[in-house]
Amino acid sequence: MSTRFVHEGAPVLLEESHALPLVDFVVALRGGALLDPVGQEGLTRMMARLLRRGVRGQPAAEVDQALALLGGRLSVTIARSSIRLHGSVLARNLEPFVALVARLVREPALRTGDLARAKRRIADELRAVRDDDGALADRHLRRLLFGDHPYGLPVGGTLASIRAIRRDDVVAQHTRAVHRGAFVFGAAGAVTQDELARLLSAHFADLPTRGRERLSVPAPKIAKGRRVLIVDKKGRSQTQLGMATLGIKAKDPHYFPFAVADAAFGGMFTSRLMQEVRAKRGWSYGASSQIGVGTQREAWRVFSHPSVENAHACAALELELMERYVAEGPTVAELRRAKRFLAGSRCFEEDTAAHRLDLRLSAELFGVGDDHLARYRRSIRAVTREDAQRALQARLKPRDLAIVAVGAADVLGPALGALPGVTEVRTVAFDAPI
Amino acid sequence: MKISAALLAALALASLALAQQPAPSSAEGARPSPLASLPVERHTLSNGLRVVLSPDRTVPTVAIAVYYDVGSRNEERGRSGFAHLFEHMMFQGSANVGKGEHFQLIMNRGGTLNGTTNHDRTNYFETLPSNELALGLWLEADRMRSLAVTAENFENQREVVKEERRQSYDNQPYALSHLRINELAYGDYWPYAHSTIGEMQDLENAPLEAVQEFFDRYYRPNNAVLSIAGDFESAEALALVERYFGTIERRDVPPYEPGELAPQTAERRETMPDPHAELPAFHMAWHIPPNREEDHYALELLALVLGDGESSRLYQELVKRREIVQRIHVGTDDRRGPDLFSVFAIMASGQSPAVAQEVIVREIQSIAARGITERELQKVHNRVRAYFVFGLQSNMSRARQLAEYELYYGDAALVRTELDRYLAVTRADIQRVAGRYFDATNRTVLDVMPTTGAGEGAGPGGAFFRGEPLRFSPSTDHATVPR
Repeated sequence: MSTRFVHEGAPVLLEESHALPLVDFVVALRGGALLDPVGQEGLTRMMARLLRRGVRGQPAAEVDQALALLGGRLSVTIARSSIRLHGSVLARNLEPFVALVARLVREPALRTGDLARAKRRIADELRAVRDDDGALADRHLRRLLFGDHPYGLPVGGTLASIRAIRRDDVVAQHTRAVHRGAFVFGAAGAVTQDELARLLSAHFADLPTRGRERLSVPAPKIAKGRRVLIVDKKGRSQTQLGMATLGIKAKDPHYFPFAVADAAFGGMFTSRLMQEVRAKRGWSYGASSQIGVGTQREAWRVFSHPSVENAHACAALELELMERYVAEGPTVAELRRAKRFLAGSRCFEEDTAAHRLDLRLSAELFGVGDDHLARYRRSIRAVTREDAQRALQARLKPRDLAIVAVGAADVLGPALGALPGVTEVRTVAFDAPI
Repeated sequence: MKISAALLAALALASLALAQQPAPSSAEGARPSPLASLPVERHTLSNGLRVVLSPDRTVPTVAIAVYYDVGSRNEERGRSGFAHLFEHMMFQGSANVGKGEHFQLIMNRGGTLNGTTNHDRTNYFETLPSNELALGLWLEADRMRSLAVTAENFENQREVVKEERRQSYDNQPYALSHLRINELAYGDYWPYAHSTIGEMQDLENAPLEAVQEFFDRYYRPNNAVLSIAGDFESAEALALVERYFGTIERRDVPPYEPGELAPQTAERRETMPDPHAELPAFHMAWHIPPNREEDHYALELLALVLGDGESSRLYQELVKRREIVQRIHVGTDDRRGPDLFSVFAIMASGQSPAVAQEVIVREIQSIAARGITERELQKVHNRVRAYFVFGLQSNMSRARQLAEYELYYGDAALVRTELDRYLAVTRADIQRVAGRYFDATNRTVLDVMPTTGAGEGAGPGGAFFRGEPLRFSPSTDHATVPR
């Protein structure tokens, strides 16, 4: 049963199900990495990470022990537009679990020593990203596409920005992020509305009332032409190849036609991209496209990983496929397959209370309305070939692309520089700051 | 933190009956299993196909899993990677299904599908809306009965698998070390010493005619388990199974004869450079009994005490207090045959593996000498119990794990008592296994050292670089569809 109510002005989403003696409890805070001040990228993530390091008067080890003894799990996820603390716990232990989460959110210790340790660990993680060619390609791709726009800045920060964070910054960021207007609560599983309301009143009463801080994200603008960035890693036998241009925003009127068009192009194993790149030519284990979602137009990205020898041919094929697709749209058969897949697979995304809650929380945080889920299948099924083609032509500009390849620059630079429409080719070292 | 595969198996395998009973505290381990009423119906067709049904009408979806009793452990020398390459071929068409149509037919209905291979088995599975059960069964039966093999398809899939190897191993930091540790620890024991993904040269050499031979040898109904979980009526499902699979011919399957794993008599230690890694790392591995033997349960709980979650001993000591390790994993590998207790850790900047390895050895010795606390036992019992409940929700997990238990241990219903076996482990059991399997002579250690400059090539190292051919051994499933 789906219900929605309000606790001290904050929306509360409940997916009640007593099939299992389990409750998922989520505290979401609107804001996320977009709250990072300029030059302090990674600050919100740092603050959110320190929430797990204990509360005033109770060190982190005790909190970890308490969670383990409750048989609970708690994760903290930081996205550009939100922070989510997501816990799962046996229903019989829900009250002490909610109490613990409330203290972590509201009374974190934010100790100087923990900050220093977290800085060292995050620095190591950032260095480790250099090892992960796929993640490295993605980071550079966003940066190349969006430049200094907030969508281009790394959620986790940079080595320099992390190094510069002081405890006062973290405390200030906590004050900025945790206030009544930011909260969205969610629960799924074996808990009733009355019980959930009681728990919130007991443990999340008197939320700080500073009024909702309006996040103002400017519309991104991207450069004209096809710009190529080679992230130089010698000795790689394989290339991580990413291409991106502007896509859609969450409230875009073209949202559903674009989603169908994307699925037909690269969102399924049977999509055009996978068929052409892998099934027909065997050039890459995977080839896919992805839609990003934000309050402004996010990235539409295409990824593949061909061998160095096939990188040019693979990139050229993908460009040709993109251009033809935007010009002609999906075929009738492709459109039908994509619609059936998206509408039909929905039952697997809604098959548990926790999954349904997750979908509703995303809809709430992006402001697309609680009816988004209810009209999803209907909207997908209603998409026509003309709708899809219109959405593609209105939104995708395959002539204005960011292209990133991680691999050997001496081979990839000339190869990708020869692609049609390329206006710029740059090379950076794999360990250069992003 | 990885939970062992055996534990994961059990996680996924509970019924809604669990919802009706409070989970026992650790002192209540002797109570009847909360999984006792998990629906498990077992049948065997006249051609030897074993069928497991687990109906649950909660959600209108159904999951189908077919497990074949062949994995990379069955491969001949010089044919490494063939079981997995063959798995790809099973999606290339059959008598009545054209190339690519298997995917289209499932995905057009909103379903998902994949196939994976590991050392011990190969599986194929799909989820569908429950009114499409017949389609899923027909597709699986068609390819069990008849495989369409063409040279063009085979060459294409050979290239895809080579790209998969480059993607998953050759260009990933630490990935090759996960293969090398198995090669070192298992030595001449070919079934587990070599990799599921295979060596590039072996993939290159694989002949077309071997595909049909492999199919004829292993892809028989009497060498497979079919498992169905979700929203269906048992009699109807069984009638469909009989209709589609019942006439597939059985044939003798060659027995699996792996030979003996030679006892390890001295520590094995090696250093390998990794041009893709930024930070040093290390593996430690000890030989332990196969999955589901009595001591294995206690060893899995020992792994939880040592490395599961932020309150675990090694996480607290190495990651939080000393800050010499960035990430650590402790677990059992859960093979059907001789198994390993494994540790893998990535060091923090400026730290070398030696100190962390000493701490790990000392911590295990401490448990062997003094045992764990009652609070620790209660904690890991609670973790196990919670993992079981967390894993209840997916029809696919149930279908897959029931199939695995039927295939590996001959009875899918064994999962009903699996949680009890974990909860029956005592502090004394954990202390006993900590003292029994962790001698230095039973240990293999592999240090992984980054080389300066990405891809500049490897410097001199241990045996790895003395001209020996590299043989990798499996560490993960390999799938047809990228995940």
